[in-house]
Amino acid sequence: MTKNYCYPSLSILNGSQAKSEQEKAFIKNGKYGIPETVKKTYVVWKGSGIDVTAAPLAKMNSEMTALLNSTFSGTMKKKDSRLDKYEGMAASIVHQNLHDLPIEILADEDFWRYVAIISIFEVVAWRHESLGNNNFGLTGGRGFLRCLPYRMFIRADIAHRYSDGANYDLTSAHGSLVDQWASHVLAQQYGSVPRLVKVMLEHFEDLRKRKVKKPTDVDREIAKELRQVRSIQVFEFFQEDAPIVKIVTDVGASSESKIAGSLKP
Amino acid sequence: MSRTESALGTPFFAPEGLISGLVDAKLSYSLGGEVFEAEPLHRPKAVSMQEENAIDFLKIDIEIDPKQIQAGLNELGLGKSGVDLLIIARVPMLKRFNELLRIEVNGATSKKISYTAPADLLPIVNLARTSPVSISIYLIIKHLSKASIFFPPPPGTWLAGLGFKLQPPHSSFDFTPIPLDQTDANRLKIPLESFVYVEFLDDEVDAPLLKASEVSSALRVFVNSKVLDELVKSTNNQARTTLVAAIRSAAVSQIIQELSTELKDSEPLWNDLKASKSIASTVVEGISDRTLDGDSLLTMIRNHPLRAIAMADAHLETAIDMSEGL
Repeated sequence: MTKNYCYPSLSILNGSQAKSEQEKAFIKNGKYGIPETVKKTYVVWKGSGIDVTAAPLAKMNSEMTALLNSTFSGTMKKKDSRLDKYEGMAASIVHQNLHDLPIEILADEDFWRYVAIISIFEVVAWRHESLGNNNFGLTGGRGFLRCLPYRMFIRADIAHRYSDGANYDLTSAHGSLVDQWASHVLAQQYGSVPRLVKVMLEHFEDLRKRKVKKPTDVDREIAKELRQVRSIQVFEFFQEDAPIVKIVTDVGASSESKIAGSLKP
Repeated sequence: MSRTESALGTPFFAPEGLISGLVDAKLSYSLGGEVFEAEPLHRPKAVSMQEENAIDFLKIDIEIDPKQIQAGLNELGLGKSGVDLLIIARVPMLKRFNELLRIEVNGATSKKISYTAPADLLPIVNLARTSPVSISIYLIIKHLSKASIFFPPPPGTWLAGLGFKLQPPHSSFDFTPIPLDQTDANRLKIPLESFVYVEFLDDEVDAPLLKASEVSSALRVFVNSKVLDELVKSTNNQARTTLVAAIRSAAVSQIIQELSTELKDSEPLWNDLKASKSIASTVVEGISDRTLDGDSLLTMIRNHPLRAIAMADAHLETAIDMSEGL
């Protein structure tokens, strides 16, 4: 099938070479950015016709950079909670600009690698100072879930679907943390059910409000039990919150007592 | 009853009628006018989609046993309303799912249920050319049963399920395991009790991994038939993850050893190997953790295959998968 549009892509190996070009550019010029001629040797265009991604990616990059410079300027430490906050807020920028692209582009890892390494390298480098390969989509399999623009898009997509396209509130709601999204939403098959994600994040927030001991361990235990429930119950079946609230409350209670039990001498 | 074997029942206590009420399903789709059919999964195999072809029609024909279903409903005291047939398409890469069909089924439902995908679903199905798409058909309990049976299944429980997986060819290490039987064990001169054995088909080509581009023409992965049976029957996802990781790790290490031997005889450059689109290039892409460039990785596989195996295991997260099921 011929497409009447094209889009840029980077394979893992080309991407890792392009990333080292970015790093070399920084050493040489004090800033990231690689010349078009160098870019051409790595970027592969898929399809033919006009590039449908250029304009939205440029707009996205400038909005993400503006947010970074206005609200989040200044040096940050690696564990600065503002980094987490930025990720939640900027997720909606990624989604607003890209969600109208053809779905096959959005489902292509090679596209997201291009976004991370070519379109918004500076933002990824600011968010992940150590320049870890996985944050740029340079790992396959589950490692790919760490690709920054991809994981932001998915986070906002779940929020968008939960609200029937009305808002992105869920991306930053319930004191949700990047680690919870990464481990308990993106890495889990049940993360595709927005209703469950919302109820689960509410529960995680409630654990912290109630000052439950070892909340992270409880989160993990909940995720583990939900995986077991999922093999019996089809979460996609539920069209209301109530039955999911019941499942998460039951699983939450048993997880909490299990972790509390393990703390006793 | 042979056809019902392809439906997986859940480990729940549930009336037999409901577990065996979903008899069969067939997926048919057309690529440029030519119609293909697929059987539901009960062995880990999948429909392979080529990048250049797009599905322009997709239909699912389902066969149920209404009498059995009604008998099961009666046993649960649910009357005529209690079980839905649900079809869902899932796109793991986008963490999205689409509900294709949701209908109530009971003794009055027709035996044959047919679903034809609307045009707007086709782009989603066609994502399978680059990223897997699964289609699942379930019989699902709708309400909590009031009949005081010993272990009532909660709403949302699936009692029978059938599935199809559509995916691109050459996804890293995509092989269909073959149960090892006595004939193959004798032919390969290995014990029937072996766990995993990769047979390289070097009768026609010298270096199958370097020269062949289709997995099926380069190698066959035999797996202990009891293990494979248990894997198919198991509905415990975590146990399955562990077992699949063990099989994959064993197979990958044998493939790397073979590749090491093949690389000693010829010393291709990474760029040439990549251009050849051989299985070797898929293997190298699949195990690389990107800390090495293509040529250095080839050198490592050639000279230090055991180190390459360790790296592949780390990259494929074998240890994580193994511990997840415990």
